[in-house]
Amino acid sequence: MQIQHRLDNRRNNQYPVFWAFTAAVMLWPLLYPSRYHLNMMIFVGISLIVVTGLNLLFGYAGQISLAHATFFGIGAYSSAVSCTKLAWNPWIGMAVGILVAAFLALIVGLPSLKLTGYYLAMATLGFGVIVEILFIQLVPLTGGPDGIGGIPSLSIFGFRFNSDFRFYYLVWVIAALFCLIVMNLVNSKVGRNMRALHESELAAKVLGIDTFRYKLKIFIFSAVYAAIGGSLFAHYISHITPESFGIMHSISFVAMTIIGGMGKIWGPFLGACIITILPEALMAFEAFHVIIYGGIIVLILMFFEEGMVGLINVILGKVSIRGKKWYLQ
Amino acid sequence: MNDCQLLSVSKVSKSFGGVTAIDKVTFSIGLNRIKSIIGPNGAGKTTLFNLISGVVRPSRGRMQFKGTNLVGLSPNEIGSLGIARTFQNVLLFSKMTVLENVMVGFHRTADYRLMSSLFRTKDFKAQEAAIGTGAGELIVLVGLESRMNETAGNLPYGEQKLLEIARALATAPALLLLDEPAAGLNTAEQDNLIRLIRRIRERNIAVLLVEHNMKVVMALSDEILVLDYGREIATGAPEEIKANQKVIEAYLGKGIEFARNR
Repeated sequence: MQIQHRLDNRRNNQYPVFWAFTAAVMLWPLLYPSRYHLNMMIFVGISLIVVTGLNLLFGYAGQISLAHATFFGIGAYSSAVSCTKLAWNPWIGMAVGILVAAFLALIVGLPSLKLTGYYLAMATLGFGVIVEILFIQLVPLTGGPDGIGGIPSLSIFGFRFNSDFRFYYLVWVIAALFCLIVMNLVNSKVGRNMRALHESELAAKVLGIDTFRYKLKIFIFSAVYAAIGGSLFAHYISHITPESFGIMHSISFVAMTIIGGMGKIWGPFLGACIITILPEALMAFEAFHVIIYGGIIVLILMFFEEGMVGLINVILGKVSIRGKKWYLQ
Repeated sequence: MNDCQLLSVSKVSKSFGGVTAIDKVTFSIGLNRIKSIIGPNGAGKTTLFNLISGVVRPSRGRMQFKGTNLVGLSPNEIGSLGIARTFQNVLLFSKMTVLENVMVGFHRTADYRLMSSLFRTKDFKAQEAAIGTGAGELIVLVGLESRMNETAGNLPYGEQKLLEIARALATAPALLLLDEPAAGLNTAEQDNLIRLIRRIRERNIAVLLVEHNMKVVMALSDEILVLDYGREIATGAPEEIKANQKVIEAYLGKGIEFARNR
């Protein structure tokens, strides 16, 4: 009984913090309705959706995907094409994006995840480059380098998410829900098995875990998260172009995962904040902002192996030993 | 093969390139038995374990477990049939705690649906608690109860080996393959291991043991299989093996005989 007690304690710790945090995010626009900051937080929220899925794949299961901006783009283009060229309901467009992303993830994952090692990184790199070319070259469908404009806003039962204020709530409710799903998943046998196969795939297999199917399912799951993020992105900015979905953006999603702290529930949020907000905040340094930005990221990684979560643990550890427990997931 | 055998291996061979690591090896192990496989370094003992657990595929031969053909099955399928193993070089999930390591082994016991883990239903919580308790019992069995929430990678070597055994037991196997469990253990730890393996047998689990430590082998084995250069050179009860001329030669070389005759 003592064992059980300890177990429950450790697990439930992160939930109160999660709910408090969600409440803060929901209250923030009411207290501080600056349009500039709302806009930035919407982008953070969209990135958070993508990175939450990627964290599950990369941070927990140890598989690198270099095509998450591609899946993000597939979601965005599916929504854009469905709404503008086919005049479908936007939610159907989002569903199409989810299905296409899931199907392509299956096709890419099937051969590469059978193998042990970083083959998924190679396969997704190639896949990402191919799809990026398709986005640019399939002019009748994607509009080529000019992209697709005039994407309508989303609406539920006639309520249109047509202002930053409204869209903020849409994005953050979805982001919070998706974080909750991942938290629950991670705190079940699914999470244990993923961490296990990450550490020793052979040992996990010998225990009877079908590691291939696990990796494949998680890859598809994370691709779906990216597609939903992409769809929201398209509806928010209303005009998409291929350059938002290139390899550099895939790398930036991976960077958000690493900088935030891999395999930690709070990692994606911190990573999405840093990578989205830091370049904006450093604009005052003009030409030097790229150097300072790079320098800060290198410093975080040099001194805090666990990314921003590690940094915060150190700070909290100094402030109070008890506080540290909150962040240990 | 008669049906009271749990695992039967017949004429199994494995070659890597031109090297024959296992050459037409035949043996079987019955329910609830302890059998040891011994032999000099490079005799093919670990290869034999890799063949049984599906990590490598045999070039020729047949293997049956509870009437099911094992050849061509993947390690996870074989694991699910009820064969568990440990590794010579200890493969733990080293960043996870002792308790979590063992809980991973219970993954088949936890048969809640994905949806119930998403909504954290009562069924989910009850099953997770049951797994936690089950894992706790196995940790007590191997004597690591004071280390329950320690990170596995921080344990000393001897305790890591015990944890690996507890994790293997969590899959509720009918057959446990132990690859050199006594290597690197001191005398007290060896005695502890002997008691543990006896207790494992009391739980109706057959044990196949690859081991160099003769004290452990002689204390536990019902039967011993001796391999040399991938071939079976002797099979028998511990007393027979001790007296077997071929075994002595394999371990000590023919020189002893030569010297004695001079």
